Amino acid sequence: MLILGIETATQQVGVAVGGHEGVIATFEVARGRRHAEILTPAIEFTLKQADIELAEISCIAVDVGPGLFTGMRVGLAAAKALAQALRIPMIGISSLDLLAFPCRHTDRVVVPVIDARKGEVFWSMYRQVPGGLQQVAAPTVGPVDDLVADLLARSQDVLCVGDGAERYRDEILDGYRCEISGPAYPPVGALVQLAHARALREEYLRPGEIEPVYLRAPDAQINWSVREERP
Amino acid sequence: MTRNVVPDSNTLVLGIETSCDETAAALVMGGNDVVSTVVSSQIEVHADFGGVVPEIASRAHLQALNPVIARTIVEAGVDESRIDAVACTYGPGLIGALLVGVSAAKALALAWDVPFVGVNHLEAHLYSAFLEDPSLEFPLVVLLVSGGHTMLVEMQGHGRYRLLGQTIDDAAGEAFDKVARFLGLGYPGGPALDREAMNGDPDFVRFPRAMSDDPSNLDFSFSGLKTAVVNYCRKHPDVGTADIAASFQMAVVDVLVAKTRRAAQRIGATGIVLGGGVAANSLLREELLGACASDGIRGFLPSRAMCTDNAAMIAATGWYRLKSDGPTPLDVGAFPNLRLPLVDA
Amino acid sequence: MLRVDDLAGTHAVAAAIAGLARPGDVIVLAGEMGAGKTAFAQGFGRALGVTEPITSPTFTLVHSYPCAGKLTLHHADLYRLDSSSDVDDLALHELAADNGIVLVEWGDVAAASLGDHIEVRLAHPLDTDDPEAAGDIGEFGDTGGREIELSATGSLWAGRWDRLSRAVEAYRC
Repeated sequence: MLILGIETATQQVGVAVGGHEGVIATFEVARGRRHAEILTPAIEFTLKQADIELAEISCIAVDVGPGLFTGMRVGLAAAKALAQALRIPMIGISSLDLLAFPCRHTDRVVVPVIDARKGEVFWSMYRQVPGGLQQVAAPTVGPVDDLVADLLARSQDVLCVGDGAERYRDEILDGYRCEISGPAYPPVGALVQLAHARALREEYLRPGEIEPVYLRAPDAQINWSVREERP
Repeated sequence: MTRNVVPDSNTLVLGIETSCDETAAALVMGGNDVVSTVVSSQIEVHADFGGVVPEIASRAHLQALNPVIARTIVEAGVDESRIDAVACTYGPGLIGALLVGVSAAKALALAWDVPFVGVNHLEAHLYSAFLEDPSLEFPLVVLLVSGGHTMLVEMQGHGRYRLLGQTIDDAAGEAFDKVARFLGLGYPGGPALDREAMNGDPDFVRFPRAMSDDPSNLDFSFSGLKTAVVNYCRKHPDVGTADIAASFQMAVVDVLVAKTRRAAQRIGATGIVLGGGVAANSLLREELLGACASDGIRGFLPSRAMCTDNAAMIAATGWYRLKSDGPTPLDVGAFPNLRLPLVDA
Repeated sequence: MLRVDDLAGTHAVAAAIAGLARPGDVIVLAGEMGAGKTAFAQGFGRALGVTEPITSPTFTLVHSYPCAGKLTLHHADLYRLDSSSDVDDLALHELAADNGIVLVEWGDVAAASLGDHIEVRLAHPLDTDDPEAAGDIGEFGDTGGREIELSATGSLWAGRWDRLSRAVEAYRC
């Protein structure tokens, strides 16, 4: 079984391929705002270097967010189209799961933090359990202050990871003593590893069942009372 | 690198369109034979907001695109292995919306190992006429009127365009939308205003016809007209909405038709083609046909389905572009401000 | 508060601001439909050496124009946006930071998302309560006269404010 992983929920574009034998090839570029240009050639390149044909792929794994909406949708649109054209199933994994995964051997609480722009971040919390990590706080979006309040309320030994933790390092450390290190962007290798575990349990989805995790509603927030109508 | 294909009359192109608020796919053979076409409109999604909200549009495209493509293939009754190329709008339009289509289209081209063709949405509107009447002969004058554009184009041949005139401020469709919103007529504004105007007197107020004094000038301006409507309403709060809508619409159509006629005379056009969303406006269709009849040239009005955004015109244009330029590289992105490629005068 | 009598006056005020604008600036254009935001943008662009027509960016949200030098003028319109995250997606500050000047129509509705900026508020004489000030503006108010109010958010223009005041002195009322 071979899985193609696609990850575009942050500044980074990531492509990986792997399966029973682990991760075979990965490609990661973090230059932001060029997801659509980079992604398709990156898939071609990664498969070519791994000497794998698209026809050999049996599952498409994709990072479903949360993250930057426009970039996230580039990966989701491409992943869904590939799965549809190749008639193969999909697996969706949260960007926060991917960030936490490399830290699964710590006994601290792992808090992945993704930059959500305009002073806000996406975050959730994980704790080590036999065989991996368990989510102990559901994904949330909010101001950095809310994250700090959440950390204070739980008052545990914490490891923060992700580009949001890097960007707001000072604000977080001013409010709560913890460590900030680990990956800045969701590692695409982890996407293939986590998807492989689910594929073994046959937890597949059809393209139409893949749901992006936006966490923010696109509802009207702007005060448009000034955009007048004829009295 | 995907393989190249030299298109012929049997070449089947899948077209994809996600530049604004319609998610559309179509299969077109040989550049003009529409095998199947599917449009999923988001109008209801945006109605509450009185306009297209980009983030909502992008989310809806991502959700709708796969089912729309699947239905297009099923309705065509062909196996997807028959598809020879994938064409997709890559501009102009809303960047987030365009990226959904472009990303999916490139992935499909990669998976099927067929060429990808990036299509200019404006050029596709020019081609929509050829889908319904391949017998049209050059040179043609195309009046392209939509929410984002108002231009008069001389179509000298396939892929050969010369700009004769364009708006120097607002697009005609934008003026319709904004005036409709101002008059409280609902969304989408164009059709709502069209309906309201049917009950009004088009000669009730003579709103200014901007830039129509100089017959050599084929440019348009609608910003001042919008202001004139607002100011007139302030001064005359008792005048009925239908009369204002009808008078406003008359002013817009007057200018559009007068300049299009002049353009056709100037270049000795064999016919006039109307394109873009505003081409669905009843008064514009009626007046333009009347003008063509009295000037003795052909007037081609695409069906209302072909005026709005659709993917058949994208697939058709993709066929012509594949023939003239070959495939588009897979490292291409989307271009929200893409312009029509023009030849030198 | 400034008052101009015709379109040329609007263009002159726009040119005065353009003359003091620097790469990185964000300039908000406020005012109701028909108040003259597009006219201001056209005068502003012409002063920066933009030769092509400056048309309404309502449809594609941002239009970009190369100016004299390596400067780019970005003309944005928030009219169709309904959430401040949409405004963030336009990344107007990134456009400004990349040797750009950004004009934002209807920018006042999302001023908090725009950071340091100056606001140019345009009003038609008819909008004022003073009938005398409105004068005889004709049936459609097409004399081009309007009132313009300038204000700054943040300190970006602090060093330039005096010069700006002097540059538009002739129109003060």
